[in-house]
Amino acid sequence: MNTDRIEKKILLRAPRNRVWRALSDSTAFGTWFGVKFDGPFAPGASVSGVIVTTKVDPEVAKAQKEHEGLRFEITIEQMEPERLFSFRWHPFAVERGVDYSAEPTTLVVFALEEVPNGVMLTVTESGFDRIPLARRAKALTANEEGWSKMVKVIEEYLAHTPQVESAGRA
Amino acid sequence: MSITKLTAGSNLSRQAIAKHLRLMEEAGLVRNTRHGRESVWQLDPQRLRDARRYLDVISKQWDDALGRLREFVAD
Repeated sequence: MNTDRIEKKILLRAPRNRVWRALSDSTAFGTWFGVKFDGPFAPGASVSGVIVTTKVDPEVAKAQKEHEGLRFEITIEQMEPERLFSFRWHPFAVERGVDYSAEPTTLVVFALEEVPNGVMLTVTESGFDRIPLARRAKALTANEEGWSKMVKVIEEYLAHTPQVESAGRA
Repeated sequence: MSITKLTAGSNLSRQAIAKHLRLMEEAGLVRNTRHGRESVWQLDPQRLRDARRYLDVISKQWDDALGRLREFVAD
C-alpha cells in the first residue's frame, strides 16, 4: 500500500509550447489552478500565492470563503523548457493559523512528453510519508467539508457554462 | 504483542526491535499499552487508513486541477 506518492497521466491535445507556458508562466498556472502568484517562476525561486475561489454561485462562494485568501509558497526546483517543471510545497496546508514552514515538503513534478496527438503530461507528487500521520489525519478532517463544496462549485460552473465542443472533434 | 514474543519470532535483537517499534510509534503506525510489567504493542489500522484516504483526497484534487488545465490549454 503506497502512501508516499501520487502519479497522474493526462493527454493534452495542445502544442507542447502552449502546455509549457500553462505550467511555467505563473499567471497562466494560476488561472487554471486557482491561485494568484506574486511573481514569476524561476529555478530556485520561492513564489508566494493566494488561493482565489471561483464565484459561480454566490451562496457556494460564500461558503467557500474559508480557503480564499489562504497564502502558500512554492519553491521552484527545475525548469527544463518544454520538458520538465518541478517545485516543492506543503501539501494540503489548509488549516488557518498553522505555521507549516517547519514541516517537510512534497515534490511536485510535471513531465512533458510529445505524443502523436498532443502532449502526455505526467504529474507526480511524492514525499507524503515524511509528513506526520497525525497532521495528515487532521488535514483530512479540517478539509473534508471544504472540498465537498468545491465539487459543488465545479458542478454549478459546468451546468451554467455553454459546452463548447472542441472544433477538432470531427 | 509483547517485545518478548516479537523477539522470539525474529532474528533481530530485543534492542533492535524496541528501536523499530519506537520509530513506528512516532509515525503513528503502532501503539503501546502497559500490561503489568510489559508493553504490549499493536498496529493502528486507523492511521494507515487515514494515510491512504489523505492520498485519495489529494489525488482527487489533482484530477480536478488537471481537468481545468486540459480546458485551459485547449482554448
